[in-house]
Amino acid sequence: MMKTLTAAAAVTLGLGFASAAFAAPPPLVNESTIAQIGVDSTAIVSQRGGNNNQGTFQVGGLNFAYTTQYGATSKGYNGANTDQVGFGNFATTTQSGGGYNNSTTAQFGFFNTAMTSQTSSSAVTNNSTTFQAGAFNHAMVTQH
Amino acid sequence: MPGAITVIPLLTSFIFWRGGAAFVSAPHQHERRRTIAAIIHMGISMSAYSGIRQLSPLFFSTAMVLAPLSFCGSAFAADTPFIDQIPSGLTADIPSLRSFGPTVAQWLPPKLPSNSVPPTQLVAPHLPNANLAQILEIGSHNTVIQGQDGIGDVSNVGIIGGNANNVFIGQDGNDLRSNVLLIGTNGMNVGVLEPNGSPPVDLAIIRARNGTIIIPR
Repeated sequence: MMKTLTAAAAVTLGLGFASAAFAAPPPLVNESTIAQIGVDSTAIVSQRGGNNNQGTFQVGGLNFAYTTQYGATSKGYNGANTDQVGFGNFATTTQSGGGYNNSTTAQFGFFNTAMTSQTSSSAVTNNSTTFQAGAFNHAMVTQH
Repeated sequence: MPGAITVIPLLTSFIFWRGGAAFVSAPHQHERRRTIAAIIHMGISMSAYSGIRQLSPLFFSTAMVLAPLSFCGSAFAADTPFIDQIPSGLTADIPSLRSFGPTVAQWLPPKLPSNSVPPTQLVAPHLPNANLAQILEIGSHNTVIQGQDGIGDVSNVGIIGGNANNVFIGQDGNDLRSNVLLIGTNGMNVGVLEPNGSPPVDLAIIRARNGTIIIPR
């Protein structure tokens, strides 16, 4: 008798979750992936809204990556990818909401600096790609 | 006179590109001289292409003063790095090509029935309002700054095998294009300022192994 009641409760709960899932659309999810190999590397990610996507990959030491994204509307999609291999590389990515932003930063070497700032509206989309190989290179992109 | 070295190409380039400006400065004296000479070459060619109505007395005075500098470098005195295109006045009539190949109607795909499902779009949608900024740096102590404020701006900067170069791209308007490529240069400063309505700026500076600065069109 006890087993029967437990099974009935499980079925009821399952139906309840299923009905709730069908009642409202699935929320927009944020995706964040950070992979670091080495010592003393730092990765900071701040995402707000939904449907953001971010990936940070760092190999070496003393690398720093900072990514902040703000997607206010459901149409806003921010995607940022930061890859750093070496020592002492510094990368910041800032993308605001609305429209479609996309940023890719790849740095190989040591003490390279890349700063990307993008602000878009529903009528403008921004794309930025920065690739640096060597040492003491600096790149800054600002888009409005 | 680093100020004059920078301002004079800026002035001539501003006249040629009718709103889009580019200026170049080099650290060494011989590189400055060759760079200015190459820019004068490019400016004269661009002015001939654009037409006499684009020229002004200011350009003539500047070109007359700086034109002899183009013969300072032995490489430029021996041979010009530019490739001549079709000379002015040469025309060709090819009406016979119209008779070859299928007509436009034959190239069009057959019309689908009205109740058919349209095919799935297989390619990424074109984004006419997208701003694009791309940077490629291979070297050391290079600095690239790109600023875009508008719609549909495209800016590409490439530094390959160079050291201590500084590139600044400023685009303030819509549908602006600029492409800057530096190969093997050292200590080169390039600035491109494009206000709204500027034509595309394509600039390449190549430093050969013997130190010659080449600026192709």
